[in-house]
Amino acid sequence: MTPFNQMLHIRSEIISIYKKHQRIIAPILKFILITSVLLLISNSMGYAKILNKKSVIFITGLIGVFLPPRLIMLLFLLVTSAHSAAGSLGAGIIVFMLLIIVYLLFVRLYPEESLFIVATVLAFKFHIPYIIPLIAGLFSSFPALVALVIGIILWHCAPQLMVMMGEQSEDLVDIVDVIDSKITSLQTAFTSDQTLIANIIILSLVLLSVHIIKKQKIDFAEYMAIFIGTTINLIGFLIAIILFNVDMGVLSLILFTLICAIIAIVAQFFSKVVDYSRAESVQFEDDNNYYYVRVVPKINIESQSKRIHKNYTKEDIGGTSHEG
Amino acid sequence: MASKEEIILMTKLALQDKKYARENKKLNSYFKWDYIYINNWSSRVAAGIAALIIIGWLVFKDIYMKEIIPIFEVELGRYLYKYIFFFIVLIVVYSGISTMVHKRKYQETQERLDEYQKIIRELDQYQYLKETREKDYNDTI
Repeated sequence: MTPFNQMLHIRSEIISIYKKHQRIIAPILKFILITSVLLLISNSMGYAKILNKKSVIFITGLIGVFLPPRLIMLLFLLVTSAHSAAGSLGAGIIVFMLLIIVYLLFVRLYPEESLFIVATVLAFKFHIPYIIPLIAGLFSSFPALVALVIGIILWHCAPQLMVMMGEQSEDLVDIVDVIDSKITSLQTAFTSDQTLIANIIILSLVLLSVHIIKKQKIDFAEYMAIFIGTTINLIGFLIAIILFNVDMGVLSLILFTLICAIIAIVAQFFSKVVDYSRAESVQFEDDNNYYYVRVVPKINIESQSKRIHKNYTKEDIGGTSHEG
Repeated sequence: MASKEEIILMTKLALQDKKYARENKKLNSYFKWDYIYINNWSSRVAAGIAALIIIGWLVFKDIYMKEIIPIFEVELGRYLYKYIFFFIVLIVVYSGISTMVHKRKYQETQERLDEYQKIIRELDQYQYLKETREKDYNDTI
């Protein structure tokens, strides 16, 4: 077996294990992801004591497993606003206003793409933000670009909000002054932060290029898209560091970009077979029988290369020499 | 007993029913432009609420901090002009985006229903051929 076929074989083994237990694995993965985000919010903010309790986080995560993407985003919005309001009423009002505007204008129309907002914040937390434009470009659509930008803005504005929430609770009479000053300082941070602007421009370019190249009808278009996206990412951020003094380490940029590219390649390698189709059970009946059918998508282990087989007869090889 | 081909066709129909029946039924109960019209209204309401939150904050700030009371200090029309313009532009732009999104959703539903009808016709044709063959066989006997 060639190394490539060995890789395909390993891939099919992993995927067949996943498909066999998909009904258990998928909800567990969803629960882990939702609970991780709630824990991240709780650890970063943690002002609402009741929402910090592990049992509350656990139950909220469990509820989230049964919710569609739009309501999961609403859940995160409410939890974040509750923590912010518990820390500082002014910051809580700002956070709630901003997030509800994002929900009304974006999450309502693009619920699946809006999950990239949370994914972007998580990716920044784990120092791999470059993975998001690669994955979104490969597997999602153009509206994911808006989610990416919102996620970048939220991540960069988070420290400002933390500072605000750390302040003492204001007298209600001065709340308007405080909210206004906080919005002004957020605006200043937004317009003067070179790293924020560089992240928005470069990561958006990466997503657009990956998405456009992936759609081309050429062999290995997806892998070419990952390569070009990674190159644009590296060159873009190197230019930003050299010319615009963006605060970023060159070695960490190169290292994390390569890690993200490898993750994207692995995700693409597995996605070809997974193809979002699941093993399903259906039942129906006709006049005489009930039918219980289990539908299991095939896993293609062989590569797509064409092989030409030609069957030769004795005459073709030259057996006619013995004939009289 | 149904044959293998009939089971495959019926299974495809059952899979479609399981995944999309509710959504297909809901969308197909409207004409295309009625569906877009109704959903555009809910999108406009959402965009309107978002715009009112922003405008409400700015007006409240003017009244509370700058002590500009629109009716007495400035001409109301001139004061509200920029906010009304912002409100209308946001509603119009958001309606356009909402139209595109819901049009695409409706189109996808129609394609699924066309596929569903195609499978039903194939199944009907198959069952008709099967019955004809059985009838011919019985007649021969």
